[in-house]
Amino acid sequence: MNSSLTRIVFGAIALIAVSAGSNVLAQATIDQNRAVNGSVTPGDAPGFPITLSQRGSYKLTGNLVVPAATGAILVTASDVSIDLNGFTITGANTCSGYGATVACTNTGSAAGIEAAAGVTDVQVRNGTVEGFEKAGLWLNQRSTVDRVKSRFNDGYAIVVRADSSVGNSWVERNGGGVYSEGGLVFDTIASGNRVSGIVVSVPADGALLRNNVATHNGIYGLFGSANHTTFMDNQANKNTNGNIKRNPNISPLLPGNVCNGGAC
Amino acid sequence: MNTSTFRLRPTLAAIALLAITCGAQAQTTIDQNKALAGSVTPGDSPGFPVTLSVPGAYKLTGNLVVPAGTGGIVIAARNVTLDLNGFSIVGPVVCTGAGKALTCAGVKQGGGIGFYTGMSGATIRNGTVRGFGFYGVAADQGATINNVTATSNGGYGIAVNGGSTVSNSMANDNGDVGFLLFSGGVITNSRAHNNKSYGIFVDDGESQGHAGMAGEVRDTYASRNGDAGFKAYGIYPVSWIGNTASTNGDCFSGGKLVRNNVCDGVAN
Repeated sequence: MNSSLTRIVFGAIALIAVSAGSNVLAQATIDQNRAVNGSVTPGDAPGFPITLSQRGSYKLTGNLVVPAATGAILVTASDVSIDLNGFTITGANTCSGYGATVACTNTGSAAGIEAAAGVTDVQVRNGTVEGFEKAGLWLNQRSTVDRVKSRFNDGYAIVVRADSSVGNSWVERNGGGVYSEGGLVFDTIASGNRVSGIVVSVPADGALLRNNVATHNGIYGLFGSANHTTFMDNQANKNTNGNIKRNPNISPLLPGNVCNGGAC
Repeated sequence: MNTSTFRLRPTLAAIALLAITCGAQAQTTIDQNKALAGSVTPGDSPGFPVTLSVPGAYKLTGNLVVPAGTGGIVIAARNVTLDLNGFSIVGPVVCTGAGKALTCAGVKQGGGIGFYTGMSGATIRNGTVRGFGFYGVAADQGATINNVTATSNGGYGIAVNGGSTVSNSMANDNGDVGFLLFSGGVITNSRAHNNKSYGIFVDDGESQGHAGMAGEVRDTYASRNGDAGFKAYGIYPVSWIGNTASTNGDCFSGGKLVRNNVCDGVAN
């Protein structure tokens, strides 16, 4: 069976050209003025949050400064890619302290970038999101977060649901660091968050945490409460209640993890 | 298959000559209107698929919405770089269900991004290919696939020929294998979820007369696939390094468990 299928795929692939209907959306750029004016996508009201109601690719061309008690971007369509392009989205929430002592002004309940219920496959990359209450990023299933710095959020910095990937990111001085319901978390630094640095939680059934660093978080550095969470090549140091917390029966601690400079 | 290959030869010879004559080209943008108008490259007919017959760099500047039974883009030159630029190429097929019970509704033909035989060295990155009847992405030898999601396609999610590299990509809810490495290659930092057959399938190609090559899959996560999360087939070595398999039909089938692999919570 497999041989015949691979033969089909790697033969010459003839494709039939026919015309198609039109549903065009060019790449939309976003800056403060466009946010204030609205109509970034159909249904986007003036001001914040910016509503992204069409699948596609969006890119910041400037920083966004968001008033208190509101979010920056609300995603209401799946298959959306947001390139922060090195810019920063700043909310009104501020936090002081480090680790267990992090305390925030907490003026609302909004997330910086939020995917609406049922909206999946959202990608956010290459920038900073800080100063929100609910979370920096609040995304659903099959999300990808890459090269994002998120701090000073009262909730978790980054929340993703099942089958998601968080990589090359940095979460500091939030209520919590990364909260995942399954997938990959790799090459990410979680430091000085009030509760745990990186959490894999039920209903996840499987996750891979690799090559992360978690330090000075108020509860655990890395916390896997879900089944089948693999810990590999992580470093966890000086987290208040424990560096790596896991279910030892079904979540293996592989060689290569280091806690406080020694074995975990 | 062979007939199609022979039929292509005169065309491809002409394309090769044209490429030599024209030399380097600037990055070409592609959107729905350009696809419908045709002539994105010489020989590209109006409508789909968009044919890329000249080596060079191409970039989507909008989603492509492709009708049933046809493909989105076909690579008909060597060394094509296609930046999906965060956009999606979308067909009408929808797959639903879990693991072996997954079914796909729609016409069972057409691939999101395909190629003509011999068009090696493609780079495809930064976007999503969804809803095609046959496969999501297929690329010939020496391809580089980075940050591509293939979802809800009737056959394979992402299939690459010998010596190719796939990284930071995801294949989910496809009607056959999630990732196929044919005749060796490398997959890193990727995810395969809820595909009807294997999550990752590495075939050395030897059994089909191709040059057998070794394969390697590392730091990759496979869950809820209908068959094994990680499958190796053939006589050339396939190395599993740092992968996690969770709640698939099986965990690792064939290949060599080099280190740091995990099967349903148990280190292998």
